[in-house]
Amino acid sequence: MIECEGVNYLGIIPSGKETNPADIFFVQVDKTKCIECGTCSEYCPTTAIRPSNGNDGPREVVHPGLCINCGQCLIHCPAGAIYETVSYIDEIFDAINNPNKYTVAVPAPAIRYALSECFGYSPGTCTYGKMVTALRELGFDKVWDNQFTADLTIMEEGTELLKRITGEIDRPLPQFTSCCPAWIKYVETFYPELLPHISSCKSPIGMAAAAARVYGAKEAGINPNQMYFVSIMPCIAKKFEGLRPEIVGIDATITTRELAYMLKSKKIDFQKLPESKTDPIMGVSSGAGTIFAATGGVTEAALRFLYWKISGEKKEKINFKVVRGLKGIKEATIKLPKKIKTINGETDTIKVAVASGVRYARVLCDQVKKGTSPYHFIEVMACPGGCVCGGGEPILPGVREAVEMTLKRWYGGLKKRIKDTQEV
Amino acid sequence: MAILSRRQFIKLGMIGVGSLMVGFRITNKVYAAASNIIKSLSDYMKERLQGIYKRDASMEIRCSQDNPMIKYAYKKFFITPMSPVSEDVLHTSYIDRSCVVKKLESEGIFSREQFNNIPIKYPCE
Ligand code: SF4
Ligand code: SF4
Ligand code: SF4
Repeated sequence: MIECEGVNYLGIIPSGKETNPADIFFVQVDKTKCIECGTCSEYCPTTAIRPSNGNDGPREVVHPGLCINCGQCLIHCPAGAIYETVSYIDEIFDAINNPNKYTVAVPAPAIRYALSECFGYSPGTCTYGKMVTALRELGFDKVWDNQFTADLTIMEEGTELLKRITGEIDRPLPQFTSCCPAWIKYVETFYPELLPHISSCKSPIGMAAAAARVYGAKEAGINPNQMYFVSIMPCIAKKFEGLRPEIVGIDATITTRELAYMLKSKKIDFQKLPESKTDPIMGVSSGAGTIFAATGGVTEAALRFLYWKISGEKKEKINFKVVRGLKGIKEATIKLPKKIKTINGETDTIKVAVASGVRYARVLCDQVKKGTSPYHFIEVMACPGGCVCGGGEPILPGVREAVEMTLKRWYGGLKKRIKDTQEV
Repeated sequence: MAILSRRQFIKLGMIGVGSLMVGFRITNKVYAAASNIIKSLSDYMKERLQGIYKRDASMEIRCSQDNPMIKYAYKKFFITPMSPVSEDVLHTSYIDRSCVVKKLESEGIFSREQFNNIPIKYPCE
């Protein structure tokens, strides 16, 4: 067990593609630490985490099939009782030290906004340049950017949406986003009838891993067989995704917390690092790529593309502020620059919805099932707030202190007694 | 700064209260008291989101279609969005995993009704 930024890791390295990720508990409860407060269940979207003895007792994740690996229970547990099982840290250090391996780091958009918290910055501080330098200092041979593939995702997913709307491809509306692997597992498990609605696009990191071997490697002059591809994510579910047989080329996935641990273990003085940039071939990105980290970001990025595309590649509209913010379900009717043909005649508007947290998606899924969904496009991020508040991000201030504060309030008078009796 | 560590908390449970029922009450209070902290949790979440939009506004290129390396990638390799090569490399398929749920339902480990009754709100709101 190692501790990264207050979260414990068992350090299991699933070996190879024979492993079925659906059989792995990616999060589990340390029953000796659980104070039975029930906060985890208040966040769990699937009832996977429950009391171990019927109605009471320490909590446990009952079956990996029910858990979508969102990690919301873990980042909100006030006692720090929930741990991750899978960690590739050791293997990554080995790969970095292996001269026959060409290590590639690909950080998600959300890493640069939260890694900073592990090094004394306030939440939301963007440390893109330092993050890139830090990855090079760790010894990665190449640093590409998942924001580049977020842009690529928009090109593909936006085009797919337009083709669904115009009837050029025979796939149903609304189109759901596909970049969140917890959401995907949720649909696969609880709403399989809605799978045709999910965009066929891989997530940005799925695209990055495949493109790195067949495109990036060639352009950058790397032998793709030597490549060791590390996905750095704000997310536990991405570890599941990296092991899916449909997704090729991801050798290891780590969270923001594990990256912070790796940097600290190498005594890298993050605050003092100079800034640098990701390697260009798969490292240049747009604002549309960076807002993938926020709830509503994929929608806004897609709208920036669609608006331009529908205008005949002439006009651009950048800000679609209606889809921003922490509201559970955000809806908007977007006026298009031109009319477009659809299967049911012409339209000059499209309707979008954004679920910030997969619990809200249940409402939207039930509408689609009933055939009453008015939307063309629905974004779902399993984590409330989106990936920047993901299950693999640093624990926010206040979460762990909750326990201590309560005790201060309720047992202030007993403090002395405890002091007298504790051994430490 | 830490007023009480977890170990002390458990110890306290032992000394101060001892019984399981009271244990439960502690639990609820932890949660109730936590809610004013959880309130500020959403403030921290907002700060993270603000960081993103600030960065977006400061970026030279704002739209995916204007990213020069995206244009280059299509020119050199992917041709157009949803071209056969794009479909091959960038698109995927999904699996129906509902059989697990059906099995767990028959074993009494999962209840669709309970699932449908999960509140949609999160405590951090
Ligand atoms: S949130 Fe943590 S301490 Fe509370 S019941 Fe769940 S696992 Fe136990
Ligand atoms: S990871 Fe998500 S789905 Fe799994 S037990 Fe925790 S909250 Fe529930
Ligand atoms: S919202 Fe983002 S961080 Fe959360 S599970 Fe989905 S992909 Fe992972």
